[in-house]
Amino acid sequence: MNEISLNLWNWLLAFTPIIIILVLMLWRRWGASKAGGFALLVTLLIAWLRFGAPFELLAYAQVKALLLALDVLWIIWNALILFHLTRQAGAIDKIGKTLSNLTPDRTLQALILGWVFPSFLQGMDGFGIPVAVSAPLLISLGFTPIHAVLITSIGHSWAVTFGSMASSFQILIAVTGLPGEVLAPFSLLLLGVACYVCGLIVAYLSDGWAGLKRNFSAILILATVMAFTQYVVATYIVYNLAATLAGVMGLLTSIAITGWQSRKNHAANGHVGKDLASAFSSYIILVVMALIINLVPPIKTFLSQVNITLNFPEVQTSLGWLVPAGSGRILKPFSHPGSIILYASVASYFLFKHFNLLPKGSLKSVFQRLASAAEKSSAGIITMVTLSVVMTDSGMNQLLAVGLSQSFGAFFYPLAAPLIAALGAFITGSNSNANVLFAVLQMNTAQLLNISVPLILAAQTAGGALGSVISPAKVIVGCSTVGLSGEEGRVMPKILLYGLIPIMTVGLLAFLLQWLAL
Amino acid sequence: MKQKSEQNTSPFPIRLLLLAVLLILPFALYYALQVGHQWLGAILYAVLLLCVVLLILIN
Repeated sequence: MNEISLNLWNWLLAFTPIIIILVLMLWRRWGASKAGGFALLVTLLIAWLRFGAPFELLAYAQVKALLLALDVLWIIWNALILFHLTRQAGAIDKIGKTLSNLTPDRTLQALILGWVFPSFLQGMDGFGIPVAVSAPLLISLGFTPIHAVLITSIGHSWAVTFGSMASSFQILIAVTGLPGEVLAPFSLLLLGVACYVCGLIVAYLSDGWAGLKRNFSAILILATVMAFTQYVVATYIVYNLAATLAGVMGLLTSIAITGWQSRKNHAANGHVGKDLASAFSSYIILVVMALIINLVPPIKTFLSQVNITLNFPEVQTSLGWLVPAGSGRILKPFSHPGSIILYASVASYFLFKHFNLLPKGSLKSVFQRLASAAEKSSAGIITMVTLSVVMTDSGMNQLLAVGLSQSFGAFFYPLAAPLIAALGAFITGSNSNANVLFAVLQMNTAQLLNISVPLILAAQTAGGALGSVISPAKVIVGCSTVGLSGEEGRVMPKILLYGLIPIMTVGLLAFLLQWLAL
Repeated sequence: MKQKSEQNTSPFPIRLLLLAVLLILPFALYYALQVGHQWLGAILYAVLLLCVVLLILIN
């Protein structure tokens, strides 16, 4: 038996950890590590007492969660090193000043630094880096820390599935067994529409309706360029670079738009390209290294030789829920995205040192800031990921998804599919993990309900992408980089409010496509 | 003043210490379970949960 009986009592108990996180963070305004720790203890009790999880299951879940958390933390720690090193060299201030000179329009600044630039970064690495890098830049332009986190989080969400070298999309292919050519078109269509919505939200957040109306044509142009590029690259060239190249095209279009506006306004706009290129030098190094390591097979093979993982035995709950034996998260220390950022940091350090850009004691300052930021956010990520693994391994997540899918029925299911995915992403903080959790369930449900499988899976991955940025785990990372650690509860209500808009749009579009177009 | 200053800085090393325990102890827990030392695993797991409680209390 691998089924837990679905009844209201069991479903409500499975939903309790999520309710606790929401209540503690939204109402009590607790920080993520405190809320996550408390919710973890309650989840362990529910998993043990109601879902029959034995001690071995809970203990192994802790170890599995640590492997998953390390996968994310290694990236965050190194991104913080690169960012603070770049800041010590004065490049972050230079980007802020250059972009201020590029355009005086607050909304256009937000669109470039909070929508286009983080989308480009998401293409390369993701895992919280887009917010970690872009939010402080917005603050340097005068945005409040809360607005900086909101804008950058919502801004890059459309690029998550095909970002991080399309890792979430590759997982969707792997778990469903369907070819990428079948899954890509609908996924790209839904995420393309989400790109427009994200741009509109960023414009609204930066300067209200006035900013949105003033830059409406720029939003349409940028969204069309990025969504179209992502569609063409993923469909006809290679999935892995779709979001990256969409971001590159978005940045080039941004420079063209601001150049055109400055000519129109007779403003000086000289040396912008050169200034930006020098200011972005450490990130250009990162892009080049990531491209080389990911796209040159001998280098990728060489660096991927060392794998670290742990094997876990089969465990079963007293209710019959079976967790099969298998390895945990496989860590590749030398080709890991976090390691690539570390290589770029080392190269940037020598570059900055060569040009005498680093003041004395800057390396010590970088590591002090790293320790300060990391110790605040890391514990929160560990507790949240552990909670998610305990919920998965004790069968609570599966019960939640089955209950949700049965409640909606065939007609409304396309509306519900991205919400289910977003729930998975909210719990796990990851589009990839949401796809691991719910993609097969969504596929099976779509087959049972006789509705389009590729469309429902597209809604799954799009909902997971858009939902991942509103998850507590991602909010912790964003807050830790703008000095809001421990104050995640202030950000959560707003990010939920605005983050649900693109998710609902995707649901509505999937609903219309299913019942009108197909 | 000195006492106040120490009070202000004291949470920092405690949080860092708790983080180190959360990062290291699960590997010891895994090893204990793999070699069949259930009692040791139970003690280590109890220490981990204690760390989570401390994490809630100091934040």
